[in-house]
Amino acid sequence: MLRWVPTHLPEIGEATLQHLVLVVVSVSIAFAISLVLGIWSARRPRLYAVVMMISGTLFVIPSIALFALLIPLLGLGAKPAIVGLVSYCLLALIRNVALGIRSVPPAVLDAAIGMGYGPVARLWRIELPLALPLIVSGVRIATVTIIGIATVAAYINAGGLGTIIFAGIDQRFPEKILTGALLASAMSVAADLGLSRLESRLRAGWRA
Amino acid sequence: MIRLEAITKLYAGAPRPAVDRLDIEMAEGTTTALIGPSGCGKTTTLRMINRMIEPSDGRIFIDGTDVTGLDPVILRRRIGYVIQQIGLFPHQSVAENIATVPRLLGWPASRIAARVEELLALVGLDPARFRDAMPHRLSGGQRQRVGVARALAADPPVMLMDEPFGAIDPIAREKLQDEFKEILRRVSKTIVMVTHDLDEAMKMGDRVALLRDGRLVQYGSPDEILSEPADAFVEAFVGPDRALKRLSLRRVDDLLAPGEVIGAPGIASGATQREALARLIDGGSEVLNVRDAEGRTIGHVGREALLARPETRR
Ligand SMILES: Nc1ncnc2c1ncn2[C@@H]1O[C@H](COP(=O)(O)OP(=O)(O)O)[C@@H](O)[C@H]1O
Ligand SMILES: [Mg+2]
Repeated sequence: MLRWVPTHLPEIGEATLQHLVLVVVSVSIAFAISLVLGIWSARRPRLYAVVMMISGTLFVIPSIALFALLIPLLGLGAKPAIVGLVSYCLLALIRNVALGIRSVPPAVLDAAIGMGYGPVARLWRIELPLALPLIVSGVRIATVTIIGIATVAAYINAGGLGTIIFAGIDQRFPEKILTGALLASAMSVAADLGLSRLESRLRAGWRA
Repeated sequence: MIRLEAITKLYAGAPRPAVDRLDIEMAEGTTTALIGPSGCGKTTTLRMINRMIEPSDGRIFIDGTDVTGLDPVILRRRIGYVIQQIGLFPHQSVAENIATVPRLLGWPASRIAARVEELLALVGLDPARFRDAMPHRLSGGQRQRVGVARALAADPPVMLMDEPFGAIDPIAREKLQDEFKEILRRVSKTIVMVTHDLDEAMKMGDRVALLRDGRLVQYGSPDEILSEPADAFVEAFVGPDRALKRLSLRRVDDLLAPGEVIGAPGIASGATQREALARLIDGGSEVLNVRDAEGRTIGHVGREALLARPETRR
């Protein structure tokens, strides 16, 4: 039944690794951007509305169109793919960073200010630690979202599991299509489970 | 010593000031209860002292220094702060919560650890059991004990407390008030305590400042407020039973007459005169023997003495 897989393990491994790198690099870059934008906009409703509108707009552009639109600007390969994937992470990440910061109970914030925490120390020692479960939840949503979208990045030569799927489509070779799809799904499920567990472990310690 | 000079707060868009040219001087080592109806400006006044709220006008001095010229973050580390909702940091253990200000001040770890033990003992929490506990495991009363320990951590000369018993259930409240009164007496701080509960103000305050619509209506000892209300508002605020409330402020020991009256019921030394009166009514008796902790009679108190109008204590 399996004719192609056993003889192409290195190729499959490489595509999986490429896929993972695309996802991890994109989520990491998006995370850094979102931390800044989320913290900055959390308590500024007008700024938050603008940020949500822009990241929401980016999120609904069909991925194949976004990648194609990036070709004239950035050419082919991993670079435009990462730019596109980053833009799909922003909505969930920024929203959850801001929600996390806003979830800090007002009395906790009041006590922190009243005890003499400066704004920076308060952010690092009180607000971000308390926001962490929601931030991790945002990372989980973003990761799961772009593991799927990243398969499309093969279309602009970024590599990853999409390469196997596209090859399967071209060659009418279902085993390839299935292999790529199953590996991408497995990666999603693993990321979802792992990050969910991290989230509940973080919450278990203190329960807000 | 804390001195407010014509302190005023006008919130943006408000028709009239929340605090209106308030002048108060609070002596070192005393507890001042800020009391008044909801919305009269108690919290606003309190939070101007540690600059959580910036005054619109007026000045505030702590030990002669104008606080409006200080860095608010540095200022707040020298002022204890206790709030009704307590606001413990839920992701930190009891010990870490208490260590907040010492850590901000950069104390060495060994000194912090020793201080945490000392404070837990002071507020009546067994260090071995509570040091590493997380706040969500504690009862309301235990949380506020930690809240007070945290406020006392760096031994600030001034403590601000905004309705510290407001979140404690009524049964535990009175006991906690007694204990806090004793703790605060031992640490001898200049304390400003906001409350809307008259009995609490009378019990905890050496002096009581009664506010109405952001203005100071009367400022005096609990006994003065009860015996010589400044106007009809104060009189209504303290209520028609103020004569009984005054008896709550006094101990039977103040009226002690020598000798034991054979056959009369007894009352413990240290009981309030109000309790004594209730005991007399209950027992249908004219006299009570006052007994010390060992049960020895140290004198007696009679009905006449209890019912006489006492002199006002300033
Ligand atoms: N941040 C604020 N902005 C505008 N008005 C406020 C604010 N805080 C309090 N007030 C108003 O100021 C008045 C005094 O409030 P507050 O000091 O909290 O009273 P209290 O503690 O005596 O109940 C109230 O009328 C309240 O509505
Ligand atoms: Mg208040």
